[in-house]
Amino acid sequence: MNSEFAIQLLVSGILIGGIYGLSALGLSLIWGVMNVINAAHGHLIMLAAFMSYELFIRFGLNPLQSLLIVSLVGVALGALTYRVCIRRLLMQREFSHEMTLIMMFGVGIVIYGLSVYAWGRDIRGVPFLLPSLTVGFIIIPLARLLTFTIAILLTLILYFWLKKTYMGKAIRALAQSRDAAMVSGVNPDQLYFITFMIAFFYAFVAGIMVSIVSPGLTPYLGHYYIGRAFAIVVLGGLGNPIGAMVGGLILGVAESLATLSITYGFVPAIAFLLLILVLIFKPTGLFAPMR
Amino acid sequence: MKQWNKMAAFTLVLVALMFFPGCIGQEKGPEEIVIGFSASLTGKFDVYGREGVDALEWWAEEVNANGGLYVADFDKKIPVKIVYYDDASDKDTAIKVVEKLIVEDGAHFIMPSYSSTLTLAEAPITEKHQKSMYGWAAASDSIWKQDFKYVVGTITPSSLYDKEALIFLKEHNPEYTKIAILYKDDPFTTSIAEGTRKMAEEKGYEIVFYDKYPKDVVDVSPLLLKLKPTEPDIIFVEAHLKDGMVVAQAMAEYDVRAPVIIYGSASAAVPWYDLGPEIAEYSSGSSQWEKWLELDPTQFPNWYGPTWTSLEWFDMWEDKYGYEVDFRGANMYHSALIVQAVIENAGTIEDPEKIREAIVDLDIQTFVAPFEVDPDTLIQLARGNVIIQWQNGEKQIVAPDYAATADWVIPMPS
Repeated sequence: MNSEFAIQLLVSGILIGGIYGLSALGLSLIWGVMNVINAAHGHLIMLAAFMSYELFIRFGLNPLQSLLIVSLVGVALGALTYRVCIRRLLMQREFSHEMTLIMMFGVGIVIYGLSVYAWGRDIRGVPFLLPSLTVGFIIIPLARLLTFTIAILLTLILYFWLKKTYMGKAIRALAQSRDAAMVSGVNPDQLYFITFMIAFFYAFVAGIMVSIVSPGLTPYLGHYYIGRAFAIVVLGGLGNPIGAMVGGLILGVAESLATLSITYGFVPAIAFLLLILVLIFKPTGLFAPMR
Repeated sequence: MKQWNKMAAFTLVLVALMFFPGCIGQEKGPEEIVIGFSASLTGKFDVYGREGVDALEWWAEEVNANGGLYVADFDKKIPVKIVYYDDASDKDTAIKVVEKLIVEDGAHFIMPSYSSTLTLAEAPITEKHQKSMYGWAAASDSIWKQDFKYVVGTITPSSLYDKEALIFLKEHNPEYTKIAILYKDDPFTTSIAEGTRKMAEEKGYEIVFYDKYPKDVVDVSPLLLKLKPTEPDIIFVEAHLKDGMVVAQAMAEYDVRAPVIIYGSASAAVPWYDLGPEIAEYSSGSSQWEKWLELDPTQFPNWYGPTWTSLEWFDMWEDKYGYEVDFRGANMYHSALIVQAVIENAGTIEDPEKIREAIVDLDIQTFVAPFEVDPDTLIQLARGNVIIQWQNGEKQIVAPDYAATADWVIPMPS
């Protein structure tokens, strides 16, 4: 194996790593800010991908054209889920994280079941093939470059929004200490509501990106991403968008470069190998939560 | 006195007839030939289970319309009866269903559940009761490596999926010598890959790449980048539809090309064309059966059963049931025809050894496929998948030659 091949693998890993990072952002945000483990996260990605398919079939919209509509549906679903399922639990005195985990697990099953009902178990695909760029010896598929760019942009937007805006600062304060934030006049209910909507927005955008780079949609799709998303969140650190993106990039590159030395069939284990290593040597993740 | 003697004799005869009614009037043998089917009507195989039931019931209607099947042992035609229960696509339930079909319903012949996994789980039950079972939806070779005596292969075993493609390419394109095989890491596709590799090596091909990708794959680009420099002439992607789509798109994106690319059963599925013409057009695949399969009965001295074409049968199915049948329904109908031939040739529905002999001796061609098994294992030998290629948005059968509806466009246009 020569260095050109290794560089091509590196580029390929970075491009897919962007999708991995994006697919973990929403999970990281809700977990980091609200301490709610969104077990439905993978199903949200699947739902968005299927909505993209539906818009293509019905109106001929390609995934990029349907991005705005689908992500707004994600925001609305986030609002609904928070108001109907999560808010009551969070506001209880005897609130426990297990309750929200079980609740979101249930939400995920409902989404999955409804998706099977709506689209069946058949595999669907959204045709979206863009040409590839060749830079020297490196091939860069434009569709992957596009999704990578969107993933990086959205990560930076979220990072700076949390870092610079009043609302972002309030959310970070809430993540640090709910009681202290309330003393300072922060309304947790309102901010949790917004956090949920943002997290769902990111999950739905990830679903659209997934439908672009990985055709063959199935209601099981969520299972493919949820395990990786958990590993990435732990790897990058909770509640830190940069951490989630870097975690995704590390995983993408690790999976890609692993091809140099081991069979590709071993790749699914890499995410969990990284997870174990991080938990042993740096349990807080590579990046600290945003404070 | 004579009158009394006559009356006594008459009474004795009447008494004898009461106790031995079989002596007159009643015919020998059972009233029905029971075909038991463990049908996956709910659970993950629900659609396929329903297709199996519909095919089997249609076959029974046709048979019974002709008075049933002739059984030499009883010298008469006996109607067939289909008995089925839902196994919920579940292994444990399926085993119980098969036991119940044999013990309580007296099934003479068994159609197993959908899938190799469930068929394999049910096989010990049919073996115990010495009932022949016809694997209408079981392709995994592993079933026939267990020394079962009564499990009959009726569809192409996974190791022979690419048989017709290799025969065709060796004959028509001998200039292609290098093969790459890329496969999903699950038992079924691994078995196909192993079989293809073995057949290819026997035919003198050089295997330049042989590697697998995980089941839950979301990206295969690293593996394709590894494959690309080997510059194969033929690429076999042993995949199911979902992962096949992932591979095909990544191949297009990373410009991985070969004169022939065969995506196994993935590209034979209709949703394959959802990938769009840039990717799907001219891609090839293999299929157990296609509705375009038009066989001429006069070309087959061993033709058995209805002489309709697959398309005629397909249209009749749609009229009858209101939905489109696929290879699963065809395979069940084909398997039912095999049961029919076995009964007629064995002349018995109860003697397991005679039935096994009839299975081994059977060499027939139905409107779906041929049938001939290995005498030791009963694995299917005669059948090979038809090879399809997408041309102008339509699936065309391109191999074997006798079934072709179009020429195989080789090399694939860019």
